[in-house]
Amino acid sequence: MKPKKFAAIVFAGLFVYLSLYTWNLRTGYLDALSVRTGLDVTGWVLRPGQWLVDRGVGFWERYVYLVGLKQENDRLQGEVTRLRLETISLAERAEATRRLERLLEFPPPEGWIMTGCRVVAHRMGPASALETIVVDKGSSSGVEEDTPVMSPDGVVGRVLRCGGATSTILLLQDPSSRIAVIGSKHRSVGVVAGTGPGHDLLVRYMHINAELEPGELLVTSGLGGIFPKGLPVARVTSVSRSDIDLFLDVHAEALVPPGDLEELLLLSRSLPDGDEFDGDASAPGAAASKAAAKPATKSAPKSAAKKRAG
Amino acid sequence: MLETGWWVLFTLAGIWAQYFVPGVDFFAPGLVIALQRRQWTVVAWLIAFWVLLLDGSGNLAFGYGLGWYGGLLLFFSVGQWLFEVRSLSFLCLLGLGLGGLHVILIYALTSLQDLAFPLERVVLEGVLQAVVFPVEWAVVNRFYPERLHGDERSL
Repeated sequence: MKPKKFAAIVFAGLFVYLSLYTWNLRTGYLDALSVRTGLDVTGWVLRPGQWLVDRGVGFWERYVYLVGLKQENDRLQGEVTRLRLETISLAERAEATRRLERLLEFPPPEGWIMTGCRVVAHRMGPASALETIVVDKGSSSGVEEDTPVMSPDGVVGRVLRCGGATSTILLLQDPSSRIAVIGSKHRSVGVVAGTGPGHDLLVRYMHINAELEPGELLVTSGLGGIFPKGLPVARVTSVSRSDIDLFLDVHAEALVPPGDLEELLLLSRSLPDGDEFDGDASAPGAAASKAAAKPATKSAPKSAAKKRAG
Repeated sequence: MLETGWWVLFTLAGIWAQYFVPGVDFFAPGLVIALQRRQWTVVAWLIAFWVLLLDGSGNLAFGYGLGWYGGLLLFFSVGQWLFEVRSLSFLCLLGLGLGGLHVILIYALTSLQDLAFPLERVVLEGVLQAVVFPVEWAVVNRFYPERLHGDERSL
């Protein structure tokens, strides 16, 4: 092939590539196609292997290693999880009630429900620049982009991409993640931003005169329109003031270490007619969902904007 | 039928390899094997399917897979003018090129989408890709069934 012809083919290829890229950014068709095919196929391939590992480990633990003790432990763990979710719910409701006494026009809370899901994989393939995990629930289970994701200990992140039976979750540790928060004690508002795996979270835009102390719990403020109000996100580790900055320099640690994630909860708004979407009732955490559905409040419509505070 | 089965098995193994080693593409050596044997129809099918897999399982907007395999085709086309395409030196150079291409593509796509670029991690993945590529090619080439070999003309 002559060099001129080769160069023409390369430039034509580059032109087609950039045209496709721009067209897809505008329409999202190719993203939807790749998620509906590639992500779901990956989930289908990985799930049987994980099932085999689960069965093997389960058999060993239940019947060979400790007969009976494991089942008892499972039951107690389930009870602890349920009680923890109930505690979160009741603590936030107590706070809300106290504020309600001062604010007579407090908006009525809107219901949220939870669906359990399992982590199928962490970052997959070379096209993974963000800190994400893959879970085994997709749009067929009612999951949508920006669906909040949490564990019994606190917020984990939100749904970034949604396939038919598999979804990708953006973790709050990712530098592109933003979640609007409020201090549980002093009610100072800010935005929690990730700084990468193994690093502290940063709390941005917290006013220099805001009251905040190390150890204070940061909960979702609900201002971003994605997360319901009152879900625990992080605990403040350090607060410092600068003479030349308008905002506090606040560091915090996530309540849920990303390495420990196995089973998670997806939050969905209940339908307006009162018919709640149940998802997979047999999934982990489904039983505990009703208890934690209570503290949720009204939220704005969603958008797929990746960097918007949740 | 045997050919389809072989490529399906290769793809399944690649998905699991990418599960254990995130950030590295384990399909690229398979594509080079098909290119070396001038199996153009197979190359087209593999690229179409693997582009969807890479972009679907990744977390960036669509574009990485096309750029990745487009770059691989470009490197291979240029390389076959200068090298014997089955020589180890060519495959090592191709691995280095792909390692660099990974860093450039991730930088370009994260910049276009206004996302943070995790430099250290991506460079490490590029190095890993450069090392894994020729090794995996050697292993896969060794086990590629002889009866599937297409046009064996010297390239």
